Amino acid sequence: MDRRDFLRWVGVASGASVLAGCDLNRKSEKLIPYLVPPEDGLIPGEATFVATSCTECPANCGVNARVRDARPVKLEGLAGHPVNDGALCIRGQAGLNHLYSVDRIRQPLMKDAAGTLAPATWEQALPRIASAIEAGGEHALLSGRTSGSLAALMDEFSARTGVRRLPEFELFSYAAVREANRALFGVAVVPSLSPDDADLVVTVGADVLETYGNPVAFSRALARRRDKGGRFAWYHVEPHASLTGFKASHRLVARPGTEAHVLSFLLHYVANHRPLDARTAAHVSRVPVVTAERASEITGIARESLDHMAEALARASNPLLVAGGVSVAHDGGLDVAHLAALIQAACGMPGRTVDFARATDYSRVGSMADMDRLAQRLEAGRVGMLMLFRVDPVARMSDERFAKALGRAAFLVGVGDMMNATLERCDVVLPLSHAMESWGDAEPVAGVLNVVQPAMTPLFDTLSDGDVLLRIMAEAGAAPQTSYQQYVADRWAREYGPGAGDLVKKGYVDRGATAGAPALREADHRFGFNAAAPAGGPVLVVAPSLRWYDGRGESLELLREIPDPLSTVTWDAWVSVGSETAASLGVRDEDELELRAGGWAARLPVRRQPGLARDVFMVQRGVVAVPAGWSRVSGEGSALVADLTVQPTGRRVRTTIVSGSFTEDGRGAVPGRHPAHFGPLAGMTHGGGEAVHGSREDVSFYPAPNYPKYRWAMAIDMDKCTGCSACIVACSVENNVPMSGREQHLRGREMQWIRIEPYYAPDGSAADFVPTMCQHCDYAPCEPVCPVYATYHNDEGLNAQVYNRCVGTRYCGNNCPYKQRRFNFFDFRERRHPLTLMVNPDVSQRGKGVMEKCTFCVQRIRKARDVAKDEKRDIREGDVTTACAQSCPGNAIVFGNLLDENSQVYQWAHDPRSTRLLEELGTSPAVFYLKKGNGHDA
Amino acid sequence: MTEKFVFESEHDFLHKLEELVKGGVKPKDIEIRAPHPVHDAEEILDMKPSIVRTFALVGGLAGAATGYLFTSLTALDWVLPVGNKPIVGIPPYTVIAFELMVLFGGLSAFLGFLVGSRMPAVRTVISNDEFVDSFEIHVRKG
Amino acid sequence: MTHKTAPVPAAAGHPASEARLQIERDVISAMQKPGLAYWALVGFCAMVFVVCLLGAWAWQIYKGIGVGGQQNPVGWGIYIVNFVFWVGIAHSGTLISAVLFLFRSKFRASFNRAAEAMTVIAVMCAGMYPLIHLGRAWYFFWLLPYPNQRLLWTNFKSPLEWDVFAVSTYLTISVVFFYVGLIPDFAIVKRYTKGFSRHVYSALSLGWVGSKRQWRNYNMLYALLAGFAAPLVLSVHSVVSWDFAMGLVPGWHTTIFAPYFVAGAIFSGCAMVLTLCIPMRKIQKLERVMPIDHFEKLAKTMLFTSMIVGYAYIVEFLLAYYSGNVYEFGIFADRATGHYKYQYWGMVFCNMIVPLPLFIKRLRRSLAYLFITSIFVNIGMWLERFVIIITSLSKEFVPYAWGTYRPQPVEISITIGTFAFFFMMFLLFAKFLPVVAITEKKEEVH
Repeated sequence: MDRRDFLRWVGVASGASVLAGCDLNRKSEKLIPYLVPPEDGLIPGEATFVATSCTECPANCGVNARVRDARPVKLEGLAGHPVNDGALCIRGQAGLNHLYSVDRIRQPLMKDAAGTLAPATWEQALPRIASAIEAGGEHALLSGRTSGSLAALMDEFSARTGVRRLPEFELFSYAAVREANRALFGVAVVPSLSPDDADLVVTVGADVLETYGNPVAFSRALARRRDKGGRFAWYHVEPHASLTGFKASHRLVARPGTEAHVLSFLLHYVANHRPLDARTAAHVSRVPVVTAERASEITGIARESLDHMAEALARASNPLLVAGGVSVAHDGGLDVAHLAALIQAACGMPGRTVDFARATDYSRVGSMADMDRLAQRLEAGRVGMLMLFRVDPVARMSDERFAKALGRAAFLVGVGDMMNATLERCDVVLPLSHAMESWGDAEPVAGVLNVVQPAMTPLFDTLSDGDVLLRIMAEAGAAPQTSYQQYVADRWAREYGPGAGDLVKKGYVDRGATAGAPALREADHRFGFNAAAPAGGPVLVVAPSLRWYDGRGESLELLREIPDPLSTVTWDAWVSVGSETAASLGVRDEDELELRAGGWAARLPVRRQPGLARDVFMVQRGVVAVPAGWSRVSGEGSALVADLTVQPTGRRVRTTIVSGSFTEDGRGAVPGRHPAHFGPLAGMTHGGGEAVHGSREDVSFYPAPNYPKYRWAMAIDMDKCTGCSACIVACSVENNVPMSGREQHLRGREMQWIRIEPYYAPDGSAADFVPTMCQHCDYAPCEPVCPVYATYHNDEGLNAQVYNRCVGTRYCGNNCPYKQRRFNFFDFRERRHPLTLMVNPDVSQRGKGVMEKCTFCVQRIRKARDVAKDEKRDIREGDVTTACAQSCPGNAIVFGNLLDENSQVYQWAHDPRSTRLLEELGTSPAVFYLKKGNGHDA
Repeated sequence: MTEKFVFESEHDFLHKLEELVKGGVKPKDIEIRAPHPVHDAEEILDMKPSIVRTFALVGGLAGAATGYLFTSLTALDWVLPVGNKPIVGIPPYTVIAFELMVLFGGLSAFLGFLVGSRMPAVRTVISNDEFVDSFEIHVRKG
Repeated sequence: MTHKTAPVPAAAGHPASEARLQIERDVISAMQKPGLAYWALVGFCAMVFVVCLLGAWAWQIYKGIGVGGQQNPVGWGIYIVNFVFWVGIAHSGTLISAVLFLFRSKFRASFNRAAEAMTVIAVMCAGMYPLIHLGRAWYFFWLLPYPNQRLLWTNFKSPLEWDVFAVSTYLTISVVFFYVGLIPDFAIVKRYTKGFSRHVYSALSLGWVGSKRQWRNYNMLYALLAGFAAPLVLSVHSVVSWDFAMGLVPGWHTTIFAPYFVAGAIFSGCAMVLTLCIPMRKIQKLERVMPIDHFEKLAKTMLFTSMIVGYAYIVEFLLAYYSGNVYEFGIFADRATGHYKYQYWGMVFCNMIVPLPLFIKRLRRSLAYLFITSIFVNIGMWLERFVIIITSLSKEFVPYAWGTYRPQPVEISITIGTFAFFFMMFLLFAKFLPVVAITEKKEEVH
């Protein structure tokens, strides 16, 4: 190609891209250069913040979206928000990936003659729906959980158009908990949990750090609790293995479906050791008695552990007990929920640690029984138009009967933002805007309303939830044309009066709790748990996923890139198998197993899971489609699949398992634990290991480094870290960390700058989750080996990486003992639109052949320095924090200047628990770890 | 005028050479040809030390000095601390200095060889003068 | 003024002269007009070189270094294995030439030319790898200290920068040494050739006639170059070993690496000389100039270095055990029992066990046996570098970051490509240059 050809091609290419940029369906826009600053104060290169609400799960945390040049580039928790107070979980952080997902539906779709969904316009789609409504029949509207104005609008929609509103569908419907609370307390709600002042927490199956209730709020409260000091213990009972279980101080493994025995034993123990009022005593007397021996025999939990837990509960002055998750998601689940509620009542938890006033409203949410009824009505051909609104029952239930029944509806309207299994079956698909592009509101807990406000104009030809309903209503002639923005504004003005302005500015309104603690009522519940011994044999536990909740986020590549903290599997599906079971089946990691139950079968590679009981197999929601059976008693979707047959297929399947070892293998990889010794030194105590501050002249020939003003450093509290992996996603989004994809993960080329390293005790009884990132060592081994000075040490202690200078020898990566350097083996920047927009313009993207790693968010330090310089001062404590520390729900990470004696990081670094990784190497890292066990985990 | 003696054996050649020198012929008037190095002949002719040695020494010292100076000065030109090691580190720079000593020393020795033996000898290259397999003594007269 | 010498008659009467001319004829006749089979072989090697090495490399540059198998934590794969392997091969050439020259070992004269040629070619092969292995090979020149507008120099504290200097110095000095040795021989070859070739060889001989001044300076130069080259050999492989020993990777970070690598280099170099010279002796009918006795001496050197290498294997283990350091011992235990145990035990078998029968004189004098042994040693020494580099990286300090590396097709292709390049260059050498140092051989005649 000669120069002229080249220029010609460039001309063609740029012309084409200009044309492609002109979306003819949209109003024409003008490019206005920023010579004159726009009047609304938008300054190029300056970030603005928009307070809004997270909509990734029903917890609805408050979100602060950082907007650069009219695009949200990073989501942060909204500081001071009554629910999440600045933190955000892994799923919330990935909300940006949802917004910019390549699977976003870009315009209305309609089935053409051939039965395939083809692009259409709103003007074509809406009349079609209106005529379907007009055509008569029993129309129905099925949605996911709604709250606030949208819930109200849906009621209005239903009333005006005659489309019947079905009970909302959530796979995690909390049906058993709500039913127990309804029966015993008269309120069918999901109460908030506040361990802030608890001295004992007992969680039964409820994965409070992962998906149950609001995990961010729970982690935050737990961190506050730990800050207070004093006695604190946490027992967790579960049939499977969860992050929550391993983070509790005592993890008790019950056989699947036997949790009621534990709770019954606890209840009677508490009843015998605590004063009870007459009504509670009456309740207790109707509960079948389970002795410690019997409970131990049935559940498989050691007798001593049960005794300890019961004793602790009886003694505790302010305990918290909650049952949920997989422990209530089976036929005996209602018993479990009832027993838990009774213990709550017996120990006086309502109003203290179990907050019914701050309950999450699930009143409109139905159960699997409702879905069953819908299926029956569909099969009977009694459903006219069925509108599926932001809900994917086909994938969530993976129930063939339901999927088939859907086809019997006269007309299916799907409303959603990303293509899914349900929308694929619809006659008309209406595209929804993401919350970042919409007006609206959401109610996380009673008394709190979050605003949902747009941070950008919609990327595609989409409408917000409310606008879709309003447009349909207008089209059907049921209401005058109006916008949802107007609708919510009117509603806020009505409800909050002048306070509505606050809503938009602050992002939320907190009207405080209204009701007090409910009183125990008479109830007539027949306990069935003692009737029959649970069946033996292999059981499959379908656990909620930390990464994609009930499976809803499983198509987001950003979440696929993040290892599940327990198994460290990234992209692939897998089945967790306990070590004993694996040994008896003769399978290792990556050996394929065939699982069969009823008509369902799946072939999955094995990932051994320490701590998983014998004959218990575990898969995660969303990873594998397991038909959701349900309890006829509570209507709760079942998490247990019994009558399982398991057969190794003899094949090996390469699986994206990221971790190289389950255990420390004597290496001292957990902060505060020292490496083992071999040979003549065996048994000797280890000299190093404790953090040494300042000078390292004792281990180095060279004088201590001299930092004039700042030494950026980080400290991580291992007690507070929950392993929830929110930091990883926060870091990935903030720093444009490449998403290398499944193939690269198989080859060990994951790119995250921060990771959670799980290390299990050899018997699987305990686990440590160690967050590690670049340690920014004073004596960094990576620096002197670079032949081109692409990495060097700056005078603020940062181990700087100069991407432009890097030639890619990878020596630095080899020489980093913490293995924190990541190499761009390919050009990982290539992405499809609109995922190309998920880029933080403050951070350069790295090309192929370049090494990268954690920078301690140097761009944030730079920003803080600019601000400080404008104000003619130095950077102060609180001016700058890293993305990981900012997002951490457990408040486990602090970042700051180690030279400032008043800084938090200084305090933590000089804590008696402070230690550093691989101290004996003399690298003098700038990341301090407060080792586990600050005394109050009794 | 040149008188020429040709021998097939090294022994005869050395014998004649010794005879000539003892007979009063000045070594500078004697030119020889040999198919392989003949160290005894050099002794008989009492030749000066080769210039190659000086070249090698100077080159080697220059190389070592360059090695130390170049590394140190470039490091000081723009100070980039790495691993908290000294900016001018003698042990690592010694490696460079050693390599440059050998490089410069070797190359300048080769240069010394070319200078000392008047090579490349263009006239020989283009002529038919050949490197023969016999010992010859050329004695210049007058 | 000198007379023009008359051409020497082909067969003179004197036995010494006859012996010298016999050497000339033996060596020169090996340079006879190459046949079709030869050109086919050269062509094949060239094709493999272009396709497997240049083609694969181009693909790698286009796609990214990720087409290889390197990953976290094993950032260095078989490219660096090959680099160390070829540098090791390169060592025996200068060693045989320079060190044996300084020790006045007679058997060097049979092998030194071939060994030097091998050195030059092997350094070229080795030199490709640091570039091939770069993530951004197109910026390879950033490794060189040159004045630039960014005012950036290179980091002379980095062992990789030492490599740049050590390997380029080694290549330069080896080429000079090789060429200086060839100057008198070019003058001899000139006498046997006609036409264009004669002009080329004449120019290459720089006008050598064997005068007293030429021999005087030549001898001094040769001795000095040998004196420079001998420590250079030791330094280069020490520097290469420091690429690893300077890192704090367990299994790398050890003081015995320099002597261990040098011994290994001599060992592998001797083996490669045998691999090349045994067939060459047969094909080019060099039996007279390459006597069995000399092969036996080479075999002894190989046996000796094999024992040094074997000693290092054992000492490494004991040191790791005695250190009581779990990281260090973990690496060594893993080498013997872990994912790469076959490579480890293959290395032990090839390098420690296979050469042991060379204690038997009869086997030392059997060229067939020596040839087979040398092949094993070549393989064993490649495996040794693989074991050192890859096993150490795969199980470093942090258990979470452990991982295994597997060479990918592109890497294997490039590896094959360098072997093709090596053999192609050696074939060209064998036909176009005198493969035995004629003047030095003549010196043995009395």
